Amino acid sequence: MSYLEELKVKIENMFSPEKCYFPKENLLSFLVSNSEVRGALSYLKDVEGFKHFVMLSCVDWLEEGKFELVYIVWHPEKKVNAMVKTKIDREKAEFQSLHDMWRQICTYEREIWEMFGVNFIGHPRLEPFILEDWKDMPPMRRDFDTLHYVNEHYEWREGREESYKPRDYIGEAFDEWRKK
Amino acid sequence: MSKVVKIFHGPQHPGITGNMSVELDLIGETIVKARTHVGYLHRAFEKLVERRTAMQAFTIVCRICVPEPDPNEENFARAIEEITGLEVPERAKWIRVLVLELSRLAAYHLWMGGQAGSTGLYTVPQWSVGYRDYILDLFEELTGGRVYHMYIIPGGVRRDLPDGFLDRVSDVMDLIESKLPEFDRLFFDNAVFKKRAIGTAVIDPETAIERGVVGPPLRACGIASDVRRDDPYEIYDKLDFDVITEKGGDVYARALVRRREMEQSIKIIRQIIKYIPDGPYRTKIPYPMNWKLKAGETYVKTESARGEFGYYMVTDGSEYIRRMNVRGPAYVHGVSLLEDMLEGAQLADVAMIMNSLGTCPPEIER
Amino acid sequence: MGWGIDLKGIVSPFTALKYLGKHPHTVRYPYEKKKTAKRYRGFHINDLEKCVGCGNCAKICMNETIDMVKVEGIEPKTGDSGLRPKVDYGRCCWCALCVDVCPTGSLKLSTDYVYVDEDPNSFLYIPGLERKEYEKNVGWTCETDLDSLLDLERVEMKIMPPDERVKTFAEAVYGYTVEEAKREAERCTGCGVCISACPDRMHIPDYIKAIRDGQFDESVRIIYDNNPLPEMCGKVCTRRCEFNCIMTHRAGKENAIAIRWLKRFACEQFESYEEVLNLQPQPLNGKKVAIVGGGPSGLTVAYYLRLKGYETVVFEEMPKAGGMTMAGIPKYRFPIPSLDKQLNHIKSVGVEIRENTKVVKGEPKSNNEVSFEKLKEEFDAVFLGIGLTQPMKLGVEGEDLEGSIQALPLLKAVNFGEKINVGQKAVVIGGGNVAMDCVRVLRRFGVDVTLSYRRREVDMPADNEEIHEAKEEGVVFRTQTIPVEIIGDENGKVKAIKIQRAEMVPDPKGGRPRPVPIEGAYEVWECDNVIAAIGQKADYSFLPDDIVEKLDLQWGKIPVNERGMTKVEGIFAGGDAVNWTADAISAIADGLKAVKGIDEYLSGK
Repeated sequence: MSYLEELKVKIENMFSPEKCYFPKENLLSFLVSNSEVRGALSYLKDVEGFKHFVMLSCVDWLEEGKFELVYIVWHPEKKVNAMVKTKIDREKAEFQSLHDMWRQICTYEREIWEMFGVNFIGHPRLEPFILEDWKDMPPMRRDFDTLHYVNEHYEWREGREESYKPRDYIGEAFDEWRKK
Repeated sequence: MSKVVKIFHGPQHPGITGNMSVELDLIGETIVKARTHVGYLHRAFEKLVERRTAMQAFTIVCRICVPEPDPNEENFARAIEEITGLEVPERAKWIRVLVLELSRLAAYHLWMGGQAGSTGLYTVPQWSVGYRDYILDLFEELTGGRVYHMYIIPGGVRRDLPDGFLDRVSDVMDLIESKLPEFDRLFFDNAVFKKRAIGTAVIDPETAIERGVVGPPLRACGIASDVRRDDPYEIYDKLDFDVITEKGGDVYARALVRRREMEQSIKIIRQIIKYIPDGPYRTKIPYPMNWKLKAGETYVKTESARGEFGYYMVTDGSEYIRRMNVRGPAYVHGVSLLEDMLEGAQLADVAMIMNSLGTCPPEIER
Repeated sequence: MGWGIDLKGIVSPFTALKYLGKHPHTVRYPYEKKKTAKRYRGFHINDLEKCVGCGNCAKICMNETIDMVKVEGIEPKTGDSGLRPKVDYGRCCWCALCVDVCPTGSLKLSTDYVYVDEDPNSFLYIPGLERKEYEKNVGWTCETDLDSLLDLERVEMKIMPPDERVKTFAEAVYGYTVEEAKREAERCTGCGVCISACPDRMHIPDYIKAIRDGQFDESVRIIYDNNPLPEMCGKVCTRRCEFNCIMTHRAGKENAIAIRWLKRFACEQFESYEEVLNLQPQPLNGKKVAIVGGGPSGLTVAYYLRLKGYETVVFEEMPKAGGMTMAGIPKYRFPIPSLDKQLNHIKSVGVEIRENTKVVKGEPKSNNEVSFEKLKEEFDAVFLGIGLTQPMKLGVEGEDLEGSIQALPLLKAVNFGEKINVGQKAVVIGGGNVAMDCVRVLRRFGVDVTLSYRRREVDMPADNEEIHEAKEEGVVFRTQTIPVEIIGDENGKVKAIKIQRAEMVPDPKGGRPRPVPIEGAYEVWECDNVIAAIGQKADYSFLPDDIVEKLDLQWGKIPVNERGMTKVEGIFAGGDAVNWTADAISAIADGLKAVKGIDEYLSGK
């Protein structure tokens, strides 16, 4: 039994993870409830030795009405990754800030706050990061329609009005031809 | 009582890093507080990818990093391959590693220019950028583009090596290797550089791991951590190379790590020239616009010239990628770590420290 | 690091001084322009002749750089949409994906990449039409099959091995599994160029897309929009769509998208179509249409007119409707249950099919006959879908001997399960699909078959697959042989056939080469049967003479106008007796034309 498989058993015993599986050989991924995230991460960090924090990501599951926060950590000795995920409500998107565990989480949380609109409670510096004077919906949310935004804010160049879809054009052109 | 002066360093390029602004509070020449401001190069790639099929998106990802686009392409392609279970032919893997190492060499040359330039040694950039061009010539011949190669695609690489290409790679490697001692004399042994670099912006090993430092800055703390060795991808497990470490954790140690890694890259490229197998260079996928990606998630990483470059990718069974999140090394080095490193540093060293940490705003903002 | 003097560090940088006065290694004087690499990705160039306007380039472009536009002098034609790409360099990122998905290889990039102009509109141009100077410097191209982003290999169709095939009339082609069909459907780029070749203009990209998405019911609905016999087409169509598929440009005809097999796949997913289609025929409007002949054109007219609310009655002479698809096509290609399934669906919407009912002129002599005059009187419109039923004769001596027969009656007898009387050795004359059906049927009766054809194999009008499969089944092909005489024995039975070998003489006018008999090159082949499969013609004997005259037949075919109406008012026609392509899908197309024509005629439009 490899280290990760052992870890999987431990995680399953200690927490109540949903869908604890290996997306690939050296990566363990599991979904925990909001309240277990800090516990799971500090267990991984302090007990197991996943000292290196890789990244915090956020996935918008618009259909489910959830945001999924993904914490990825790396074990420098065992050379394996683990992925702790949790789903939060999309409507009232907030979560506790974990910046005290790893300082660099600050940056990630700041970006997610800006791009997805997730409020991280206890974050020391939730201020605009990448965007400037942004008033619209947080742009990485899936219901933010980039094309719509472009059409509203920019103009298309002239000279490109003529454009046919070959499939439709063939249908019409040959129907006309058939009529002749 | 000393007076605090606020200065904005940037958003012009402080060397070759890209447009980024650092807000500095100074007392005299010494920085007491630094705050980074990014956003000048934000192109919303992660958002654009959501509306494009995998094959269309691959033309976007290389633009995340100008000096070194290939780790992006490779990461992206491998993430898709891992999720969909697409097999990559052996030859394609070797070609990929060749491209990655060439790109690392090119990136180190550019870094050398930036690092030397930010220390006031202006002959080095002239040389290093010139020699980088020989590598770009190779890229031009292989991929059809000098900077954005758009070459490594899901399933393999786009074209086979041109006839006699490996001979020309070999020539360029000889040329670059012969030039390295000259760079030593001019730059790495230079008393001016040493004087300014040694003891500047020191990271100690514990902090380095704690703060998520990767790549040359981490190895400069004496920790042998290299994705190519720790989590071998493509064919790195078949290649013989050393993981370079230095002690000191300062700007100079980081420079030396990079300098010595150039030799390792040349060594790797020579092995590839010698052992590259024949065979197909691509696995066919269905028409790219129709290719439904199996639902799944993965995290892949490569060792770029600046350290661990990772992609977190989620697919949901449609033609489009649900979420692609890029974790560039600069995201950690260039924001929170840089802010800390700059505290107590001299104003004149800001650009040097930024270069040394591998700050690259385009990959922070994407 | 103390404050000691680092002498080496101070001195060594000065070694660079040795380069003082040396030539720089990057720039040469006098200035030499660096030659661009062969693969460079610069401006687009396009061979407008080669381009078929499929629009793959526009579709793959992630920047919406390419518009497909009309170009003066290029008209849509079969296998070519007539559109050409126009590139907007305000958006191009030079990724060259457009080149890698170009099926013809017409689109390339040049090595030129510098263009300066104060007019922004000059950065919007049609490659191949404007800025032709770039064509001198070809850069990024897509040459090998592996370079291409298109999946050029068709998913192989499983087929019964030849030695088993010749023992049975069971269907030889097994059909795709769900995975195979989806994979094959994924290859399709959805360009729609195939539609230009389909006489019926079926919605090919749309139903393939539905298969790809796993919506097989939707696929069947799309197919049934203009084809009431899709399963038949999915099995035996002459598939001109496939020959014009854009994949053929690079990968050959055998690697076109398997449009026919995909249609077959979609149709075979359902036991019956009633539930899938869930059609609600419009209530009867009181108008009646008689259809003479239950072949594909007749069934099409009957089906779609019934859906429009007309009462339709099909008069079929044979015991089962289906026309040539029933009588002519052997059952290993198109099994009866498959035909029944489609006929049942056609009947389910309310079409009346009167089998074993022959339309005659004058008074009917039995219950199985109806008079054409009466039909004309009772029905508001009549559609003639009579097909070609009279086999042509060779016109050589000895053709009336016992054992000299025609292909069509033979196939018909086999298909209707009648006993046939054939010997051990047979010679089949002809090179069309009927000849192929004939030889392969005979092989299934254990007959040694030789096929005689006057031209070369490449000139055969038969489907390549059929030729290939016939050869696999052990049919001997003797091309460039012309029958001269059928030799009989003392009992008046066929004993042998005398043929003359021919050579191909190029046509001085540039037409296809003609076979010219070689003097004295005679051969005599012993055989028990000679079967002529050289063509059929229509039989108009059931029509009153005055109507035949008014129809104004031309070369044995019925001329019709754009509504499908003949020169006699109220009589419409379609199918093999009308068109010159004489295949099922053309007959269906004719039928649809007549549906529109009859609807307009009867509703007074």
